[in-house]
Amino acid sequence: MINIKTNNILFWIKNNLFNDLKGSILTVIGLYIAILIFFGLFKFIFINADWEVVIVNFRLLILGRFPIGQEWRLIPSLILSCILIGMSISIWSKLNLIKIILLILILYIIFAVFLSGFASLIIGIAIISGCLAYVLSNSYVLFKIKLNLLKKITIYGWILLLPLTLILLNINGGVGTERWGGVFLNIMLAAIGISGGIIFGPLLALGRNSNFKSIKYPCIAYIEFIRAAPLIGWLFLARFVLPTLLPSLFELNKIDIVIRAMIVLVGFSSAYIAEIVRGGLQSLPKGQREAGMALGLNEFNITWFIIIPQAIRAVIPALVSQFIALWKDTTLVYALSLTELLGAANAAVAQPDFVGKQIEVFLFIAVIFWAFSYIMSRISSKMETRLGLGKW
Amino acid sequence: MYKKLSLYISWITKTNRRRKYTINTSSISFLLIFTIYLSIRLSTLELDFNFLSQPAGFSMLNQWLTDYQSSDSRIIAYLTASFNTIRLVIIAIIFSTLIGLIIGISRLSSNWLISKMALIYINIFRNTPLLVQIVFWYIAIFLNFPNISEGKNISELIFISNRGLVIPWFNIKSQLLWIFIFGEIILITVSFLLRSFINNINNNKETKYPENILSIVFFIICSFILLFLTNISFTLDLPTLTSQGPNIFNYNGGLLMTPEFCAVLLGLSVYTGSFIAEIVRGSIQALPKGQTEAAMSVGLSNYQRLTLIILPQALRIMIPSITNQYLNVTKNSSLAVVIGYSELFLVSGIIINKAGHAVPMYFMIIVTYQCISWIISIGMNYLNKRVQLIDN
Amino acid sequence: MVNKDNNNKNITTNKKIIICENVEKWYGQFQALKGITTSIKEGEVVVIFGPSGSGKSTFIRTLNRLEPHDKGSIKIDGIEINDDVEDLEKLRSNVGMVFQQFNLFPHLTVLKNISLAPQKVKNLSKKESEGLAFELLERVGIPEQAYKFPGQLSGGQQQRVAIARALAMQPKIMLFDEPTSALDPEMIKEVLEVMTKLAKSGMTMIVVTHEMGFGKEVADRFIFFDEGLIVEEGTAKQVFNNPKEERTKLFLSQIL
Repeated sequence: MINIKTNNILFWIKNNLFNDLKGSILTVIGLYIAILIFFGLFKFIFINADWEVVIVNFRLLILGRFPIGQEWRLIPSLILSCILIGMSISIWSKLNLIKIILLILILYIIFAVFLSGFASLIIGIAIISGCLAYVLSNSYVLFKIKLNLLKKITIYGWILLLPLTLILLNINGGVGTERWGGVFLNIMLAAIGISGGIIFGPLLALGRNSNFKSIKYPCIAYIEFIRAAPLIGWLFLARFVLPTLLPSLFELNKIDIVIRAMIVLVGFSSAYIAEIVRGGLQSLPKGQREAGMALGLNEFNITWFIIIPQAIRAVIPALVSQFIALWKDTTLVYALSLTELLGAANAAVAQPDFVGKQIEVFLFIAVIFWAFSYIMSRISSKMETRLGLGKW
Repeated sequence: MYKKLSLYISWITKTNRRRKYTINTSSISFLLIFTIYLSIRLSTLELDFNFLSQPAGFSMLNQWLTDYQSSDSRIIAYLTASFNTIRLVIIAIIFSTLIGLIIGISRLSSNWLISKMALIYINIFRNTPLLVQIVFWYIAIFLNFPNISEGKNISELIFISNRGLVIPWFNIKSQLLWIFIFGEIILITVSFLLRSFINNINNNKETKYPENILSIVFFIICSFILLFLTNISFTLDLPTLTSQGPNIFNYNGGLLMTPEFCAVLLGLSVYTGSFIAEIVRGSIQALPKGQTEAAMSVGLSNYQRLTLIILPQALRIMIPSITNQYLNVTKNSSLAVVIGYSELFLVSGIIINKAGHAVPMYFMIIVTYQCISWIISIGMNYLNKRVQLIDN
Repeated sequence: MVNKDNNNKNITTNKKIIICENVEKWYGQFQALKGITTSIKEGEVVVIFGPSGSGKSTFIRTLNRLEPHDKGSIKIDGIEINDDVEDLEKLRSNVGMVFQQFNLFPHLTVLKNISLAPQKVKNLSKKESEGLAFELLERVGIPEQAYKFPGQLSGGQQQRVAIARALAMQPKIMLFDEPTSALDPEMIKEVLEVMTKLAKSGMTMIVVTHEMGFGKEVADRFIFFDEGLIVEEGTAKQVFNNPKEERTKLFLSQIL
């Protein structure tokens, strides 16, 4: 048995790495580069680098200037998201147990290094509740819950997560948006941008395809106008021009820059999502709408039950890649002098103790950004393979 | 009261005609109110263009081929900045295409190591936000280069320091430079027209005139005449490090590529290159496998197969998506504002700071970006038509 | 009520349920319908045939206003159809339609396909509408497919579901736009069986089709369309054995 195995490995190496002269040269060069990079990184991360800057500024990087003592507002959302992640993994993913345990161990070690005491405890509770949720939802049969019901609960849970967070942030005085910062700000901006976009985008797309010229042309104008300029242009416009345009009623023209950025993000993503959904609408055969009309369904019912579900299902890959782009675009608010993750990183480096430690901080935030995007793109490719008959 | 309202609504929606009227009138009136409100608000802002002719009062570091002083008018400042942007966009497009092609093809290599390394490249640079990459290159790399006094050089030809990269360049005496450039653009158009004119004549002739060679020769001859007329001389300029006193060093001659320019160029090229690599990979994989098999059975070498069979066909699939990426490069170039490269966004910001008139300025910005995008789209559309299969 | 047996139809009510007068329709410069005048009685089964492009599909689509007609008048059950008709949806639910391409909703189960409209338009409860759906599935012969998705069914099964879906609204009139033209030959039979059963139960049906065998069995009247006009109409005997017009003769010789 062992002989066959080694034979296979050698065979594979010969075929894939050294199959001909050119391939062999490439392999050697590639190995050399790879080893250089790998060991350079290794040396850097574990030997040369001074991670003090990240450890000391960890709170700044994650929460920005969030008022100390108000973190309790975020704990329920954190625990709920871990639970939902656990449930989602058990329902939709085929990760096996070993990979999950490894992942959790890594996460816990990282957090144990960077956090102390109470925060560490909270993270621990969150992770444990996530695992519990995973195990429990795996055994849904025992609890006599139908799979469909479990799926519905999870989806509703995800939808409710954002309103819950917003409510918690605002009750009892609340933490104003001007104090949001760090990765937390990026996440909130992305969440609101995506949610707003997915509400207004299809509306715009339907308006653009409508038969009423008085609705169609304004929608086209809006979409083309927004797409004409880069997002950073719109953000700057929101900062400099929007206050003069808004009425001084209810002090609308003095709203915080963060909220203005959110409005811009929602408006921007709606235009792009509208174009994507429009592609989906156009891919529907005309007969679907006619069948609905022939049955006597009114316009709203046809659109809501027949047209929209099919249109969105048709373009989910493009939608998710738009969401990923939106997540990456949240760094642009840095140009508005907001301390989201990039801004926090620059602030950390500007501190006199840590001048010159840019690479450590930037590597850290790059990894955080990368992790979110990578997970989202993996989810996207999973979704693509799952879209067959009926619902996921 | 609610009953009255519901009765009214059901009356309105009963017939098609009433529905059309209601929707049309309500949306038109809404638009009217919105437009009126917007016009009232906008009229409070300064909306004329006179401020453009006044002196700008700030200097720009990054310039090639232009000679802008702070006493020049603002419109000249804006034009110089647009030129900076165009230059950045063109070079970034060239680099990212090269990178994208190489990495995309490597991704499909039969050598496991090379294809995995390409995969890692794509994964890392696609999933990290562009702004983070640009700031990373800028702060962590280019600004960390040694001071000019301890700067390195490569065989006295290329100098590297934290002032930037200096390479040998042509020295252009730029009296009538704008006229020359303008004339060249007209010449290019005329050469194309000449080419299609010769094509038309060729339709009725036996021995066809070689339209490509003729128009190129025409272009070269007229360019030389233009060069002579505008008295522009090209000389090769080698950079030297001069010292004007203790600790005051300077570069003389050659071309200085500031760290800002290098950072934005590198960031844009690497980031867009990863997207183009995915597009290249996707288009090559979309080709029917029979093409590769047929090429191999005819005896073409790997390289010949790639350049003669695969790439020409893959181009057809690639070009729309790559056009999109080029347009993204144009839009993303505005991110350079964050690290202070004087492209048109930053300069507009400075002008707005000093002279107000935000709305006319933004209008100009949008128009400029649109023009650049249109030129790219038109160019790529032309390319697209040329690579289509001669089908019906 | 209507009394029917094979080829000896006794239509006891003479109520004209569809009355068309000089219906004209243009698509841009092209006139698709050049003045159609006809009427259809309750319980009657009418087969419309003719060359492609003759306006057959356009005509029956004007009957439930999937296409608006430009001139002339159409009255269904006494109600004139135009832009001012009230409750167009209610009218449409009285006129069922079966399409050539089935047009089932691919993202819903067969059961949901059938029960969706009764729930939303007639406000039946979920239980009631699903009961109705099962009844109809039995009637068309495929009750076991209720929880499958349209993509999992064969063409003939899909079209039968489409018929059940149209019947769920309990319409007075059923329109069929070339229902078997997209089916493989072995599946045409099962659909025609359902349609024959439906015709014999007294439903008013207008069928655009090339299946003359089916028509001869159940149709009360045949209408021959050509170039936007009704060229000839009459019973099977009249049209097939003694066609009056040259064009009718020509067309019949091509398809029979």
